[in-house]
Amino acid sequence: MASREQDKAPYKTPDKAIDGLLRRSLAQTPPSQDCPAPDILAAYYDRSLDSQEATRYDLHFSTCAHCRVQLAAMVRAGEPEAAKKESSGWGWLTQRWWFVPALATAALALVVSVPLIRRIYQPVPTQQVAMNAPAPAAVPATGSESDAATSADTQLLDRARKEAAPHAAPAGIPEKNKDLRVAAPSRGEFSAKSASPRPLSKTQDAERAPAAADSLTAQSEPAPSAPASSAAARRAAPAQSAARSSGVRSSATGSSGAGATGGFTAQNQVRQQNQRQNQQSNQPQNQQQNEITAQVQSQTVQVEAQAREEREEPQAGSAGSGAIGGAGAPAPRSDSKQVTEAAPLYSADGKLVLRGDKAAVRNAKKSSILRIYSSPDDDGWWRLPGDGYVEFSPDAGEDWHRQLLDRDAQLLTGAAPGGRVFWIVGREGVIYLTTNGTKWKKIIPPDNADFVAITARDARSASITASDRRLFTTEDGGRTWRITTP
Amino acid sequence: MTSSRGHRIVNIEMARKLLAKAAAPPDWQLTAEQFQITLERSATHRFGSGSAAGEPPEAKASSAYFESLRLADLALACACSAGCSAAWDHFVAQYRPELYRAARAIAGESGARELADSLYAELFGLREKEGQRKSLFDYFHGRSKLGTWLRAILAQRHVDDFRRGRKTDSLDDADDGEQHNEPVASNTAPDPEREKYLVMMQATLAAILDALAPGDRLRLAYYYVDELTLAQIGKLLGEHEATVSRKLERTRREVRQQVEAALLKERKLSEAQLRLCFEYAREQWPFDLTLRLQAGQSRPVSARD
Repeated sequence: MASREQDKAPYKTPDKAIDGLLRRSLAQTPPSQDCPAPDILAAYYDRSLDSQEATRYDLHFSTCAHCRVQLAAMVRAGEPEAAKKESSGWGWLTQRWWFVPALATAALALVVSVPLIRRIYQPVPTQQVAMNAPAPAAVPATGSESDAATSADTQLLDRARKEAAPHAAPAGIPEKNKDLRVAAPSRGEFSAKSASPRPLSKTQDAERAPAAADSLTAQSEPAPSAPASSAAARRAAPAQSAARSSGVRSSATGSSGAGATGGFTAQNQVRQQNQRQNQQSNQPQNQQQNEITAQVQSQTVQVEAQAREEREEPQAGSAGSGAIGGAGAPAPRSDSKQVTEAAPLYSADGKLVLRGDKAAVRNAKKSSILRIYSSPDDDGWWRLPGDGYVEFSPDAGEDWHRQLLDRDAQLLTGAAPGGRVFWIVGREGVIYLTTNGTKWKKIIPPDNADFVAITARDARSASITASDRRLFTTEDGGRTWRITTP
Repeated sequence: MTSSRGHRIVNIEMARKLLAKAAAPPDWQLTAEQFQITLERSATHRFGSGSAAGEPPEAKASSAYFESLRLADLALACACSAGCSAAWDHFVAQYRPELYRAARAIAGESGARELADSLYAELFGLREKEGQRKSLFDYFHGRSKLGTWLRAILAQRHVDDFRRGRKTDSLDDADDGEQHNEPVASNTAPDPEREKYLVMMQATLAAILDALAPGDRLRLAYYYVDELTLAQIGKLLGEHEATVSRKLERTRREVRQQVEAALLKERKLSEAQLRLCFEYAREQWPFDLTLRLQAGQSRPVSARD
């Protein structure tokens, strides 16, 4: 049972003098004669009495210690087990029989999921993306058609687009062929190569990508005379995408960039060679670059879509890498346009809204600024978050309780005249009324017009304004209305 | 059974409709006539004392009343009262654990069994009156949940038993905590005005408390006398815990201000005398919850009275 020590201190400053006085005075109450029967006590406890009876018994209980003791015993006996466990701290957690198995399951899930998540969200190597860019002309070049952009690393993609501008994707590169993915060499091998790059021979290439070597080397003209920049090598992330979905597993799966990206060395060298060739040419490079850049951008989106598709349906040979050659590429899915990360979105109650939850995102945007309707005595606060919901706070906004009135209703505005009375009006004749904050009554409207404004004096008297400026007034809680046409 | 004024508040058609709404299982074999009697009893209990002599309540009022009843629980109570074994089995399965749990919470482990068993027997209807079995279920009128009503009866019986002195622990034990709270005797001579100040403060405060709104007074009483938590007070008053805290703070502040104002203006005390009043009150009636919490809270607080 929750103890007083666990209560938040109701008083900011202690005042033992007045506290002691209050305690003594309140305990000295004469015995009452007309104490109610248990069924009234129970109805009072369940808040089933009407307001008149409740007020009467409030007065009685405030001066009758006998009845209060019974009510206190009832409330102590009536706390559900869950509430008692919650209020007693974390002890309830360990007293459940399911705690240990649940903990074990959670630990196992964590052990399994963490490596998987790391592999999914590792950045894409820029070289791979660059190599996947389609070529405006048949410039021979090697290219690994591995699905580069399985994980959307925006910075790497941008850099890849810039670096890939003069570079042409190899022509005739077949559509998605998982065998073409290059396996990463060992770390030592990569380090050596990145330090002092040298032309890759067919043999070396085959060593690194036994399943893909033929296709690659047949199209490549490996003559890298420029070193693969160490910066690029560092940027290149391990080929986790290749390792994940292809039959060629990288020996450096999950390892650092040094070892895992060795497979991109050949591609990088060829790319640089092509880059130099383009620079030396008198071709209208700008135009070429622009075209390539645009194509790279569109293809990047497609590649990401395909990669996402692969993650969800990891069957071998699934179509998708048409982005590489541009032919047969599946149309990007709608959500593949969400390439960049947006700022986190929070709903009106401060909860983070996941971007995948479109309904929640829509609602959060709608209710980013909510008007609060409060009664003059602050006994009730309400707000209308949309989609037919109403939110009520009995404690001046500290806690909000959401209720669905009508999913199809468009609730526009309300009025809180006092206590826990709240009127709501909306489109198409919607009128709701509560007198206790939580139980709602749908009022039969005088007309099916859109009601855009309301003023209320109490639970019986209110005036509503339609969109055509007609005014309807009730004095009996909505049973009858009289109209005032302007 | 008719109302005391010879009028039927509930006709058979209404009883059938409400019985259908109660959705009592067929194996309870509850008839509309039996349910009509139960409904009539409930309505008489509600409207009997309020309405004018010989006049039944308004149809609208009685209709609203019947709509507010817990019909399913009322049907169960009615079927149990009629002696239906299927209904009784259902009651045992659903409510017996709750009954014993509530008895333990109210009376502690030692008295729970006896308290629950005595209630159990009366619910079953071991008493007979005028040749008819009388069940405690006849006193359930459906205005609350059946579980709440059972807890109310347990609480009432426990408090009544306690007041009649059936418990073995002495009432004097309840004062031990307060005696431990008495301040150490001062070396200075007692102020002859002390008693006068204390009486003055009590009278002033009593008048102010009498003028409080019932809700505010109830909140203070639950907190100071019944020693309920903020959450428990909120449950009884239909408020959130934070609202209870806020209103307690406000009420206490207002009471203090009113006491000071009354003593300064009406009793013509000086500031120094006012401070002395509060100091004497703090010494005389220290407010220290921790000691009472350590002493245990299973007994009703009213044992101190």
